[in-house]
Amino acid sequence: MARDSLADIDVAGIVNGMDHRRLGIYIVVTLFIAFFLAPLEAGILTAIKTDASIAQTVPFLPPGTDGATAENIGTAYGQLQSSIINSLVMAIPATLITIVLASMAAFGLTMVDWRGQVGILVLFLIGVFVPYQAVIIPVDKFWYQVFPLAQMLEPVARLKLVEPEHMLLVPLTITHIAYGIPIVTILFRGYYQSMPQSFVEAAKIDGKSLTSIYTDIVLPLSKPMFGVVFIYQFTQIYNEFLFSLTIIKYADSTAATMTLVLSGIGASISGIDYGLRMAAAFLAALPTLLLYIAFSEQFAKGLQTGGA
Amino acid sequence: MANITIETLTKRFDDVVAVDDVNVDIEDGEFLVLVGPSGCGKTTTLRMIAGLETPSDGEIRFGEQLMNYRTPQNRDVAMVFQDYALYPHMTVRGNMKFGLEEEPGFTDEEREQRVEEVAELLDISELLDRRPEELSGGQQQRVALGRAIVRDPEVFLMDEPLSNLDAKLRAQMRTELQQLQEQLGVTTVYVTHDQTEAMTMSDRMVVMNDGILQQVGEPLELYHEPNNVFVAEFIGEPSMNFLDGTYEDDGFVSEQLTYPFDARITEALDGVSPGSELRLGIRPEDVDLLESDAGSEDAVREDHTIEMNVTVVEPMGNENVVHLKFPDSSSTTEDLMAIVDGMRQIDAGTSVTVHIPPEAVHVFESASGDALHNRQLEYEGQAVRI
Amino acid sequence: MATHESTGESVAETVGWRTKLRYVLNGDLVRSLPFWGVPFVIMGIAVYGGIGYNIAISLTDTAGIGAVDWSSLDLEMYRQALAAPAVHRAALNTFVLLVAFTSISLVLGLFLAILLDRQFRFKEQVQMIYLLPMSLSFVVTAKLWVWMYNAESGVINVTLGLFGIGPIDFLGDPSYSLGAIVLALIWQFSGYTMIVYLAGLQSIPGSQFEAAQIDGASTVRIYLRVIIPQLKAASVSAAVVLMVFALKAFTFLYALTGGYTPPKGTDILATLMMREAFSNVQWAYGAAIATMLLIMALGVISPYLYYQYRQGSL
Repeated sequence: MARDSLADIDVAGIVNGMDHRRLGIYIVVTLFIAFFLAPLEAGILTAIKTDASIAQTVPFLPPGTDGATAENIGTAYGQLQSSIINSLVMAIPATLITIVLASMAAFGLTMVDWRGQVGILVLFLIGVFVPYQAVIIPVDKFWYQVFPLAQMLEPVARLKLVEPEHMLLVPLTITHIAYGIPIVTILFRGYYQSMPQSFVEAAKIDGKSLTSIYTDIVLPLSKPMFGVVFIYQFTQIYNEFLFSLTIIKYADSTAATMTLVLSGIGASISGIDYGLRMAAAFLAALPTLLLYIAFSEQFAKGLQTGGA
Repeated sequence: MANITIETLTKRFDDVVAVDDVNVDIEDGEFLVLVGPSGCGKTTTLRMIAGLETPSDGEIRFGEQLMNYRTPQNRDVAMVFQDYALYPHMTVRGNMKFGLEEEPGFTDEEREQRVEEVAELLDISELLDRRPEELSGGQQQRVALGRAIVRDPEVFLMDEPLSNLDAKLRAQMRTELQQLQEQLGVTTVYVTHDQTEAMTMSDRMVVMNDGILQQVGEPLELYHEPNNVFVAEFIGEPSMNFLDGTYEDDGFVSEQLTYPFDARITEALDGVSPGSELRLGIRPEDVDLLESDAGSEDAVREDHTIEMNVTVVEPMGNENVVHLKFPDSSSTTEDLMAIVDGMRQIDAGTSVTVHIPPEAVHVFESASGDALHNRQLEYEGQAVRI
Repeated sequence: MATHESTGESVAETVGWRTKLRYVLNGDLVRSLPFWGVPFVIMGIAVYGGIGYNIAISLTDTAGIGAVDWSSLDLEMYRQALAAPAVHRAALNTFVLLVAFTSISLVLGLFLAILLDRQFRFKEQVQMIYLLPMSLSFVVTAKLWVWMYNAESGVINVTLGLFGIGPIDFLGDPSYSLGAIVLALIWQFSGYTMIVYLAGLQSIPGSQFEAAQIDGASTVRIYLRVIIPQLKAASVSAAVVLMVFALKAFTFLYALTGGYTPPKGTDILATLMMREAFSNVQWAYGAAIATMLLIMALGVISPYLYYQYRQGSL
């Protein structure tokens, strides 16, 4: 009898303990959800408020019926539209070309075993971590003094009916490719290393050329990795600012990218144009945000192997 | 078809010698098995024959032609990998045809036909349009084999191809693979760590340890006439019993056992000085356990008998493996193992008279492990032909 | 031994140099060159050419508009930079940012990872929310946080007002501004450290947790004694990524004000360098600071690369 009741108390205690722990975890998880979503939530609500409503209401509560407006979004769209197109026109080819080159480099480095591989690999790895400040003056001097590609291409622009300034997107794209190669190569290398070595060896014994091994075996097997890498690198390039600032320079240039224009919208810390600023921030973030929501798993995988 | 000559083959990785001065001649059409514990250099040797590793020293020749400076694709070999290396994005047909695409002198139709012929041969015709992931381990193994056969190479190289199969399937594939090789007549080098595979499949086997070739020969030759302790212990399951002692008074003396040698053994030990340390070897199936009501016949064997305690009996059905200990043994494991008929009743904890027939003993030099004397091959009417 | 040498010679004799050359040309190094050669050259020019060019400029006195002036090469710019109070302040801020941002992001990320690691019903959805800020540009993040920190009606001051605190001008007051920026960057990056740790946690077999549980260890004890010590590799790689980021964090600070001058009290080497070069057109001086940044970054990654090399995971 005594033993029974003792057992009862024990079980109840454990169950209680579990409940408390579970509840505690849920509360902490929810608090962090609030922490991570608060800036976004406040931003979205502010974007749809009139200036009067922004001044009167609390930032994280929705506006009243008379305080809601789509005007900010409309204005922001007008200001950002062409720069978002510029960013996409630059980021998509830059990402694709980087991926093709880096995938080949990673194949050359991993699937083939030769001396000195570690040395070359280290050069790529340092390329991943180099602060762009250490090369940014040369980037500027290169595209403006040593090899003014955009200027050379201006006659082409006239033929194609785009503004001569748009040609600045070409050196910007090339810059993104050149500095994107190291990290994307490392991403692909990690994936190729996890492939069984025997795949390549079997094909070698069969007399396959490396080109055939690459196109017939490695490429088809790395389709999922191409998705991961595309999402990772596209997000990086689309969100990047330093190269745009250095090469395009001015937010009012017709070639200005999204980040360049956005950085100039509502420039001062004080002021009350927050509705417009928030609306612009969301419009600008929309392409990568949608990509993230659709492919968050791939995005996470890219970050896990590639770093931020 | 080709015979393969391997001369003073050596492979060093940095300061580790993986393969050390290996010499083997492999005959045309032969099934040669490289066997040894993991890390013994057998796979490295195979990979050097394939051209996947460059020898540090020595030569590999197919027929008269030196292979050292040829890349794998120029050697006309086909290899079956341990993990099969089947491409998951191709069908079985695609996998089998993939290697054939580089063979000159085939039209696409002929390639298709060849794949189907080989599929027929291996009984995998109905799998041709499936992908590797849809196949069982045994089926994948056949496809991997088919991919090698389809190329009709001069040499087959196989790297532990059966090790991923379950025991039953492995036994079945052993026979099948051996028959297939015989039928095709292609020189085959096969690597395994499993001595049973080596014994049952090979025409000849090569035992390696620590990168050094221990012995080359037909399976039964290695079983009955091992060159050294390593080969004696490695080949055979359960492995050979060893007793350590010294050479005294024309016999073997240890703490528990005095075992006189007969003339044939002492003759073989001619150069060995008394007092030298020896290792006595006897295979479990050669150890006799005498009935307690020993008749006159057994008295003759008195010299070579000893009382031992039965510690464990492992019944296998067809036979019993009996673990024996000397009465005053300090060893934690058994001193001797014997295999007796499965119908014979022996109980753990009892004492038995153990007979070690002098015809069946091997004598090794302790220090080097080298064999000084091997068993006689005619023994109790079991004629063993090598 | 004698046979060794003699066959070695016979191979050399019977095999002509043509055969050997053909073998080398067919070998992996040469055959793989077309694959890695082009990307390697592009990367090499951009990264190492860029670094070299930057160092070269830092040795000149180039300033203003026009071509680089190569007439006098010396370390004058480094001497000036090392003596400048602005550089000292920026270096101190960089150090504070690096240490605070890296350590808090790691601890918070580890905490979140452990929180979500155990069976949890909405694990994937929650993980997605925590990681969401990583998909945003620093320019976007800066816009959001300027509004968060707004002195009159920002979320933080409104919330603090409920407790009777403030309002505080977080970005305007130098005693708060650097802390405010660290918090915003933690907001963006702790999701990243979380997924790095989650990957690390997933690689630890569940049986270890169960075995410790059966032995009667508490959950806290299991994590402290069994699980966390195994996350060393994850911590190291995440820390390197965060530290290098802290060294080059420029975009976020630029976008806060929309110009080369960041909020008071938050000037770091990365922003100082950009301002000197592109706003004050002191190219050589900026290049010298950039070189110092590069050396710091190399100071962080060299031990990491060496560690990776020793682990055999390069």
